Amino acid sequence: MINSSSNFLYLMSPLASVFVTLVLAIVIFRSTSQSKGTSIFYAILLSVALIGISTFGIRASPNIHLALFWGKVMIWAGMAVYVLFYHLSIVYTNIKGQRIPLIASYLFLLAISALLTTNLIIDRMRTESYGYGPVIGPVAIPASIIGLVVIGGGTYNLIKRYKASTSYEEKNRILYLIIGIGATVIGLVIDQAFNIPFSHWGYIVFCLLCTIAIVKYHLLDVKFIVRRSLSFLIISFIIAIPYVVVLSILNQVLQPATSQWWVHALVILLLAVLLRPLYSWAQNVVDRLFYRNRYNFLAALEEFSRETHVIDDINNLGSSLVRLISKALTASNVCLLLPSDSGGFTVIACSKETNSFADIEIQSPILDWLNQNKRILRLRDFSISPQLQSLIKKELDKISEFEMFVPVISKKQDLVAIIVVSGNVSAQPYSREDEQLITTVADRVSVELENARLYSREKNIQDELRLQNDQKTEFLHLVAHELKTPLTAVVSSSDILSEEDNISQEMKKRLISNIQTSANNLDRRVRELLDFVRIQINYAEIKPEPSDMSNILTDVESQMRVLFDNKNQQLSLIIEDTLPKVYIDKDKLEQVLINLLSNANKFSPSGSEIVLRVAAEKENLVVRVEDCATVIPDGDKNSVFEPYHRSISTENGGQTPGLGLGLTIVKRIVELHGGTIWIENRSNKGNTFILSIPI
Amino acid sequence: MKALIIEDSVEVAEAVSLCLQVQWPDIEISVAVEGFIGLERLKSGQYDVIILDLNLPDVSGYDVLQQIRLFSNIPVIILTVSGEEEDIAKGFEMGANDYIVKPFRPRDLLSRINSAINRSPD
Repeated sequence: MINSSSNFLYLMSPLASVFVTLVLAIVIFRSTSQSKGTSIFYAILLSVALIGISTFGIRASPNIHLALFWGKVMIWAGMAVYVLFYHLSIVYTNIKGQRIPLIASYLFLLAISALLTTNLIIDRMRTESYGYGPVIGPVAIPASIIGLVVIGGGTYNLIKRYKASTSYEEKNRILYLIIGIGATVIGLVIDQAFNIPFSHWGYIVFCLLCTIAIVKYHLLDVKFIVRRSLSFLIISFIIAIPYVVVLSILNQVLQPATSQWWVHALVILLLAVLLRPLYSWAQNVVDRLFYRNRYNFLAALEEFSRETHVIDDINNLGSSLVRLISKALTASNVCLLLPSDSGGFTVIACSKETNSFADIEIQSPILDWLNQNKRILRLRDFSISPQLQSLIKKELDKISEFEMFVPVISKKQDLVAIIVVSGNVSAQPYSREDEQLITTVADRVSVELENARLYSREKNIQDELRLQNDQKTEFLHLVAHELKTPLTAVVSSSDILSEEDNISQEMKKRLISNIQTSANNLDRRVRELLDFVRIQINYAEIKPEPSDMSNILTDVESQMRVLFDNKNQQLSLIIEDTLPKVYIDKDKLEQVLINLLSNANKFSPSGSEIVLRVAAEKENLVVRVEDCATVIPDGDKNSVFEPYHRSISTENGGQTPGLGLGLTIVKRIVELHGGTIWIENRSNKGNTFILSIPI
Repeated sequence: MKALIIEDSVEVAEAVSLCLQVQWPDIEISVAVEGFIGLERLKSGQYDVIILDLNLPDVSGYDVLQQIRLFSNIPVIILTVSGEEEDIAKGFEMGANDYIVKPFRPRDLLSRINSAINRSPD
């Protein structure tokens, strides 16, 4: 022990680690039920505490003999931790068939105990620059290797169990064990290999982190810590070897006196350069260990095939795909985009519920790039490719969370989907293997996606056809009803005429008139139906000729007068005096006006006024029919012109008579004249049907 | 003799009226083109028989029949296009005295009206 008064931290840090270990023991004692496993874990904690105490013992020893004793205690405690950890792994994981290795490991501990009484492991203590240090004996290195094998066996058991386990609780419990051993080993490695007094502080911080992870179960990403700590552990071992080699070479080559601060600085600089690639490599190794499934292409694809085998719904297929990819790549978010009607790509499914990814527009340079290059677009390409420079900053911000854009290319070399992958949960860039995996998946799913998309399109068409068919069936019923009604009057009145002999002259007249009216109605409806059928097969032709609108209006009025009188409605015809002759199909326009007026008559209440205005406006013939019916909501203003559409005239759900073809025919005829028809509201009093035809 | 015809088709109403007038020259006939108008007429006047169409612009003929049966036992004869069994059954369930499918024979209609009037409790 030298110069101790100047280094209080050096002396006390081992005790701090003892304190932390004891706190951990208390926390675990209070929070879990006691079992064989926990008693072994207490023994581990005790051994760890013993390491701390013995370290303190060495540093505080007044003479070299006491320091040798504490040194031996420390070695024994370290070996005890290894063996106990192995035992714990067996108890916790309940693995069978490791009885003999377990007994062997305890025998090994016994052998260490025996050997420690000799000078085979620690030869003697000597005074180093930092205090008392052990001089190792001939058996020390083989013993250390056996110790590492034991600890490796325990870790192997835990990882095996972790992978087999499906319980979230159990997985976490196993993770804590791995954290514990990681911390212990790191602490020992740093202390043994580096002889840096501050190593204890690193050890304490790590122990505290473990305690927090255990007590505050949800606050820390336990998996993350475990993976980081394991990779750290591996690096520690790797660094320890070159460090020791470099240091000993330097010590050999240079005089011990020159082994000053700049030597250490040089080594640290060297290590710093080495550290970065080493760290990535180690992280990669650990990630493989933990997420071995991701490298199992076949397993991933098999799972996907199994799921897609029964899925024909594009949405289910999409969510199944993004789930699989996010699991395989440990990506924080994966989105699937499919072609939209507008030609861009729209988000179908995302693995993260709160998705922040927006649709890709058709003019986006990302689409051009993917179509052209047909390979994965990485975020780093955005700063290199000139094609992608045209992305404005706002768009870049939107996508910067995402790391890869993976095109899904069909056999015909079309872009059928885009898979967008965000960053990895461990914040590591994706490797070449990751790219290979996702490319394989993309190739494989292109067929499935295309199939599902076509299927869903076919299904929509089929639904549409079924609906049309239902409407047609209903329409046929309606046709029967509409034709039977006038027929009823014809049959009845003609029956009376033929069967009754003594009926008055006046009655005869009325009967004949009834038959005539009904026959005309029947004729009109049949014509309406035929017109509609013609329109359906696009056969309707117009024969335009110069026509006088006032003549047409007179004809229409004489035909419609009875209907309006029956409902006590007033029909006003307002025609512009200066209206020139218009070039139209007279019969067809008459039909248009009759259809519009009979609609107005049908839907307006009794006693109301219906106005028909005809005027020339800017080279157009404009006809307005103003009714007093219920105002047609904006959403229905187009659908009333669709075939079979029949308005509900009152809230009581009564159906209006008619085939529901009148307005369809009107629209078609107006269109054949090159004109348009639309509906405007009459400030809540009714509707105005406006048609405009070029003169 | 007074009859109420609830029928939206003017020509059918006229044909039925003519039928009735041939049989009963003194008959008073009232035609309602909507269900509610028919109900109003029935409430304000005394009738011997109602000829009811099921397909009305404002309400279903069944609803009209249901309303009538709340306050009157007057003979109601349904005269409609549909000859579907379930429609006929529903008509009788709701309290119709008879059900005639269009197109009808005048003699058939008249004899059914006769028997409905004679059977009625009044």
